Amino acid sequence: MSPLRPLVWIAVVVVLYVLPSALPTQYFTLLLQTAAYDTIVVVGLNLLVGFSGQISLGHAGFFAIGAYTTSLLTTSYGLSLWLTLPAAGAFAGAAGFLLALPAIRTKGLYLAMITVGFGFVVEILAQRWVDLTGGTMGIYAIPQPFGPVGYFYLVAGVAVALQLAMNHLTGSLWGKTLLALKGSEEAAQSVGIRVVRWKVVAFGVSAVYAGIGGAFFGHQNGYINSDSFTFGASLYYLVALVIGGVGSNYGPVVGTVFLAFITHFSAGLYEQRFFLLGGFLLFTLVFLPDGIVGTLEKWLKRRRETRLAPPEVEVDLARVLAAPANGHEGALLETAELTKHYAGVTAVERVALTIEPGTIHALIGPNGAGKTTFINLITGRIPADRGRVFYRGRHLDGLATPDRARLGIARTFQNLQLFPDLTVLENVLVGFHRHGEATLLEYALGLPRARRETARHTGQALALLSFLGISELAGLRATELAYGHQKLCELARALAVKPDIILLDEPVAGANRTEVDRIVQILGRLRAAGITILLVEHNMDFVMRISDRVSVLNFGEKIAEGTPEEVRANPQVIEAYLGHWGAADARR
Amino acid sequence: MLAVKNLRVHYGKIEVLKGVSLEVRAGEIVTVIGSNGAGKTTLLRAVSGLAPIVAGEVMLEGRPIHRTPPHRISRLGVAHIPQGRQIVPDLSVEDNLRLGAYRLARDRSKVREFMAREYERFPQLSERRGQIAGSLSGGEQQMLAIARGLMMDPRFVMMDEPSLGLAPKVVDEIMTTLQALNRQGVTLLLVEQAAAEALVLAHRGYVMRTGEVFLSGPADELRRDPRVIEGYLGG
Amino acid sequence: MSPESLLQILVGGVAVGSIYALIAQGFYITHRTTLTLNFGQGDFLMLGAFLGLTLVKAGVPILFTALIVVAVLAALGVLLERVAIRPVGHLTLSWVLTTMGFGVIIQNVATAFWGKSSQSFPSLVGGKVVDVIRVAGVGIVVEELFIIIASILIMGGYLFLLNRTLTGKALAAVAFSRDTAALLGVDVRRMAILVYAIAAILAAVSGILVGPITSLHPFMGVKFAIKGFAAGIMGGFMSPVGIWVGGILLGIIELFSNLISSQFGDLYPFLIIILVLIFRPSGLFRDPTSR
Repeated sequence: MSPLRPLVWIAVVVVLYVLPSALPTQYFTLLLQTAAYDTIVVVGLNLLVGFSGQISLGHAGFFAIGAYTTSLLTTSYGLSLWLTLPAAGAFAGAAGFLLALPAIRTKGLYLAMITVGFGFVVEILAQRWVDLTGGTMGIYAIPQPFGPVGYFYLVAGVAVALQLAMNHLTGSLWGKTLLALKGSEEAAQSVGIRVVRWKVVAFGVSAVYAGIGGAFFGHQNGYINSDSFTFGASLYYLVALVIGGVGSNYGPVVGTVFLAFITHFSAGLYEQRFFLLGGFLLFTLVFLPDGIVGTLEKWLKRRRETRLAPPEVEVDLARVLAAPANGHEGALLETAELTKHYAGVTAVERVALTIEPGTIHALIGPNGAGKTTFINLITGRIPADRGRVFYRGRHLDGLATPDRARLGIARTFQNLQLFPDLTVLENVLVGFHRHGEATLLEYALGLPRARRETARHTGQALALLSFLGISELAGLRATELAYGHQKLCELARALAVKPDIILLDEPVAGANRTEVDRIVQILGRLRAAGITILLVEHNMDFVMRISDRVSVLNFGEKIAEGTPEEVRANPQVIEAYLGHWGAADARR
Repeated sequence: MLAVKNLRVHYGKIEVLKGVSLEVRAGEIVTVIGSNGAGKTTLLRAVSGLAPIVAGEVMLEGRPIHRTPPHRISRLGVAHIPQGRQIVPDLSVEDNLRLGAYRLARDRSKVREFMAREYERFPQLSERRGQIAGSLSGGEQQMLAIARGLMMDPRFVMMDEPSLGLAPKVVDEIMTTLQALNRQGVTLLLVEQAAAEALVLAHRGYVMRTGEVFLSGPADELRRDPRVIEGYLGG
Repeated sequence: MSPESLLQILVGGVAVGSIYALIAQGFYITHRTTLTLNFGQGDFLMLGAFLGLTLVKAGVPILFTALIVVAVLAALGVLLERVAIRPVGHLTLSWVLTTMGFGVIIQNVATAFWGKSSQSFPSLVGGKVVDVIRVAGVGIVVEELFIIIASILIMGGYLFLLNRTLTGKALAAVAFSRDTAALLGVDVRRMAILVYAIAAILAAVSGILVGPITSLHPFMGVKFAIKGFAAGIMGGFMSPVGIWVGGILLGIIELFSNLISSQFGDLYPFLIIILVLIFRPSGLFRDPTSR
């Protein structure tokens, strides 16, 4: 951490302390309070939208729950603010969890709709459940502690603390894991990340923040009613986030302050003010999709070179990869009668494959032969219609993709699924996921176990990158790499799983001669370290050079198997690819 | 008829076509063969304007078409019958054919004339004209795709892997149809994985491998050339 | 409850449900073709209603009013596609926010012109909105009947367009595969513009139709959009007829739940959205890649 950082924060605290006295009237202090608790809400929303890649158009609902919780607990039960504030966060968080658990499985647009529906449900309940909420008449006599300036210090103080906690979270491996699943759920699952759990947690945390913000709203004016919790309010938070910059740490506060200014200065243009809101939203989304802070950050980053000096690391591959499977008896991976049908088409038909540990096994076949489907069946991405996959002698029925990954099955993707928001090093770090034990709280508070784990894995990640020859690229964004290097990065990430077997989907597609040679070398070393490899490829030179065994699929069935030479000379294989080659034809 | 010079196509960061040149003369059947990943489909897509061309030229009868948007290409007398048939499954056979003549929509009598001609060429389609296209067998769908492509009365037809997923007998039928078509004066560019069939049908051939042309020559010579197998299964 | 009131409620439900169905058709046709939709569809409806109100009050005959409103909103739909859809594409969810932003702008233009308070729309069929005719001895609100009949006619035209014209078939081709459609000579970009114009027209017409039976104010749009979406979900979003049925069901459910509990009646459509979305998460529009 640069020595400047604590100084900056101290400066911020000083400014916040001095601010109220610098302003002419109490009205401004109220504005500041509002900006402060709105910031809390938007910081939480940022976690949801910018880091976990979900969307909420109903955050006013969580805000409302927080507000009502604290208002009711303090007025009807006389509880102290110090109890009700956390309670508000807890209730809102619980609502977030309850909503997310079933909702998370829906995608994009539909999740958006669910959140809108949720927002409306809360609003209607607030309006109509008069016994509880007072409806449009609302709740009165909510305690307003500390006077206006004191209250501002309270809210601002909590806001600063929550912002710091969020910074910690998002900067840590925990935050990187969220960004990973935002970037590619499939790839995240392939390294053992249980995506659903993570999304639910992100949703819950985001709701907690909104609830706390709502609680502060509750105590601001001593009075709340259902008019404040409309769809427009949910939209307001989103606009603030978008304008500030989704995914950047300080986007929320900048966006919120910006909107607060607009709201204030356009108070004169009473009706037109929302015109500005809509206009800003459109403009930002089309021309400045990274928002104010995001665009600034991008601009500044362009000037910084982030190449790390290659570390002097002894690459004892076997140690890094915890040399697996060699003690295992019998086949490492086996399929029996594996079958998958799609609407009248048989993609895979009763395929029985046996992969011995420590070998490189290739799967080839003409277009549409079922190779990709087969890989997806093994990783659990699609369920089989019949048959089973056995790993180390046990069947994998019912196991979801991340759980299979956690058993030691890693893979790469034909169409490259790197995590675009992360650097090369971070991509590989996330790959170590299944070997991590520190919890969310430990990461949020920066506790020792979290830090030790991160340090250890960083070292191992660099070792892997070194082995693959790309360690000097570690600090670059994954998407900035040349294609060949991106493929190596993905391979490093798969190796981080410390797998017993890696499934490589077209590892040399689009590669030139030199790159192909490199991969051949690498795979050879992996085999020597005891890792088993199953690869799908079209580049036959490559397949023939590197494989111990080759299986050929056609029309979903296995038609041949053997050593590369045997397969190459097999007339059925030749026919599958080229047709009745060599047969005299009378058509002409 | 068609001349492709030094075509380079990128998908994102991958160079899929690394400088491909070929030509198809009027009245010929030319085939482009090779294993998957060779870039054959990308080649056709580039000619049709569906794939982004980074460098090189595509000339149709001497006129450059590498900047023409795809929906205008069909008007130039070129039909591209895409890989996997790509007939609209929820529409009927007849509607799919009508879509084939989309650009001719105003000239109702011409459309009817061409449709009648295709029904004559493919009696199985005529029998099923009201049927939903998704319910046809693979071979029938391929016939439909061809018929649809022919609705605009093209002079030049590009076909992408018509044999994909079809039984040998059906493939035979299709090849016969294509030959008849060629005898009527239609120039054909046939992309195929099944080299044997394609080289029997074609006059000349090009063998592609990882984005480049690896071998080329008269089809008869290629049929006798063992290097073709190398192109598919490695050497 | 007497059979007479039952019938009245059914008619009312079908009328308001038809409106929801029309909104949903707008979502369907744009999403099917472009994988996006107009989140501000409700605001388009609101604008249609207000414009219609102004013209009708100025003495313009109802038919001309409808034509003018339709033309204005169609142009707005084309503008929306150009400004809020095309620049952001369908791969992220940005279009949700851009179309919402566009809707917010419309809301405030409306507020500027027509003020914030609720207004009422005169009857489209002359006379008073609550006029009733006796059918088999039961009193049916004429306005509601008019809505039902008008919606049936519109749906008829819409279905004709989709199923019997070459353009409709071209839209099916685009929904199936943009590339293949382009190979056939279909200008995919123009089709995108067309469907957004159609969706805007549907919103315009629903706005005029719904005017008399609801109270108009500039922020009425969002609830209509949500209910339109709910209508689509209930019908399964896979076919226009299914959506039509879904809309009518939703309208009937809404009126019944308001009857049962006027306090929480409004809640049910939203609960339905949440529940149906959760239990049918495999997507509502048919996925063109699943064959």
